[in-house]
Amino acid sequence: MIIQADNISKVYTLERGILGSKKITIQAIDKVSFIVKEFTTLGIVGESGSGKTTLAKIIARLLEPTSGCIKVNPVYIQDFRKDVQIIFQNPLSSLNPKMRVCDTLREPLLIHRLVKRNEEEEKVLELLKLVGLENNLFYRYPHQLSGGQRQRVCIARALAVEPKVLILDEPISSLDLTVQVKMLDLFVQLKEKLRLTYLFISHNLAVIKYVADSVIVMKEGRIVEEGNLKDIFEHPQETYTKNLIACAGCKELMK
Amino acid sequence: MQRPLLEVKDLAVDFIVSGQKIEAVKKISFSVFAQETVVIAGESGSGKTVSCLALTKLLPANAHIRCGEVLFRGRNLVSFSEQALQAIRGSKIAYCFQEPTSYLNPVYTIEEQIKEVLWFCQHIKGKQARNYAIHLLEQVKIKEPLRVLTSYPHQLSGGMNQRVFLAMGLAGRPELFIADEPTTALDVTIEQEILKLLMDLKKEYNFALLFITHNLAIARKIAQRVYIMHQGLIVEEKKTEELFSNPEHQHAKELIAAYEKIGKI
Ligand SMILES: Nc1ncnc2c1ncn2[C@@H]1O[C@H](COP(=O)(O)OP(=O)(O)OP(=O)(O)O)[C@@H](O)[C@H]1O
Ligand SMILES: Nc1ncnc2c1ncn2[C@@H]1O[C@H](COP(=O)(O)OP(=O)(O)OP(=O)(O)O)[C@@H](O)[C@H]1O
Ligand SMILES: [Mg+2]
Ligand SMILES: [Mg+2]
Repeated sequence: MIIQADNISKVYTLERGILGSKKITIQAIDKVSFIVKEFTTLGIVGESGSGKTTLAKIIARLLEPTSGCIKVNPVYIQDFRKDVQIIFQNPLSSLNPKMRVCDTLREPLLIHRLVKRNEEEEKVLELLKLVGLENNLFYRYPHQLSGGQRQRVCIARALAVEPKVLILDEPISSLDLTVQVKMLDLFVQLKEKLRLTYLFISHNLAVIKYVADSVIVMKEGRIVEEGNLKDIFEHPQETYTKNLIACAGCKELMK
Repeated sequence: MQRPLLEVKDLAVDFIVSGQKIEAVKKISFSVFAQETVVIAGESGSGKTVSCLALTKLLPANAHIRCGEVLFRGRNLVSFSEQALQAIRGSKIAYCFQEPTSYLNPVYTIEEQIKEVLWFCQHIKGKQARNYAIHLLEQVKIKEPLRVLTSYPHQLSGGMNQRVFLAMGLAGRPELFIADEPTTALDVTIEQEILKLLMDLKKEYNFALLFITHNLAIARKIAQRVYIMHQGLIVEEKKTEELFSNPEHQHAKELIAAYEKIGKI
């Protein structure tokens, strides 16, 4: 085990009206438990609004659960802030608008003292190359990039600190298919090379099939199905999973 | 012959970054006829978003339309004042942007934002506007429309925001609807429903659709014609079926190969 989620729940409360008289609560996560084995990829699928992003933030310790806890294995994870990295669904709002690409990538290197001062620039260029971006983006601000370029800057930033666990929330959805395949190959390659563990959120089953060892299917904040990839693909139980698999293009996936 | 609703001629957009010129869009020409569905596909960074923003001059300050015309119903929008363009955006030409969470206004609730569009474009307000907003959210398959209406954008999930944005675009009843990757945060089951909805609404309200996507599967499903962009240029223009049966440019071939391969990803 590298990370364990133990009976996690999250309730959001919306205050309404003067003095917050009317309260609405949303049970975004409802008693979720699972174990992530070291050096594996856990895929998370589920319909829009089922709580995937909320769960990802809780695991990354960016959000307090209402109840339950996240345990990590100290053998693998000593420095949580460095060893566990998250790549967010919405790249534009997760990048600092006032920081250029070079500074965005340099900052984590500096904070965690990963390279010598005179090697920073080289390292940053290496990171850009890794995610298939050109050198000429070096001095750009986030709003001066295309959607797919921003998404890859976020990936590069997470990889900069050589994490042990990478939480990816729809990391490639805004890239064209040719680049998607390249990024997936990169993830698979890094898993071997850096002995990474992934939590991979995606609504695309083809992507999950490509990278994951086991899968969790979420619905309305709960885990409704889990198991190894092959079992879920061959014997889906939930209507939602069945629909996803039955949808266009997925039939060939089964082969 | 009938004239196109939108006719773009030799449009070029440059950016200036630290004193250097970047030619993001290099003299492209394309057209959209009334009630037609046209897809612009192409790799990341090829200039799809910038081209669309340039149509109604929604570009950032460091951008510059170097040359070209954007004829909408025969009138050149490039020469329009900001004020004149504001009257067109939303009501005549509506957008659904690529990253909705960053374009929705964080300090207003969804209800306030949809109502504003309804008032501005259709002069509907009050209870009637609220009911119409609920109807729109239901159309884009939002499960709890009442809760979503009272929420702020950061209180919704990625896929919910994407659909809210789509609903806002549709609220303006535009003549041309420009949707930039509007389904990337949605799974195939909802994506199919949204595409069907767009097709149905197109029939009902007779708008033309300019759809930006990197996914040729979508192009095949909805478009009459496809333009392929590559490094700021349009490198191929074809009827959809022709593109699939006989792609010519190398990049078009690559995109189709990736599409054929999706089953094997
Ligand atoms: N800050 C917040 N305040 C209140 N409600 C929230 C907040 N963040 C999320 N929610 C609600 O919690 C639920 C789960 O949201 P979450 O973002 O985790 O979904 P998701 O599975 O990531 O969906 P998607 O696939 O659309 O991104 C949604 O109903 C959402 O509206
Ligand atoms: N404000 C800006 N300043 C400088 N360059 C910019 C700016 N905005 C975009 N660019 C550049 O213009 C090019 C085209 O960007 P655009 O956003 O149109 O790409 P796209 O085809 O929509 O890509 P994606 O599929 O990744 O969204 C990119 O190389 C991008 O880096
Ligand atoms: Mg999400
Ligand atoms: Mg774009």
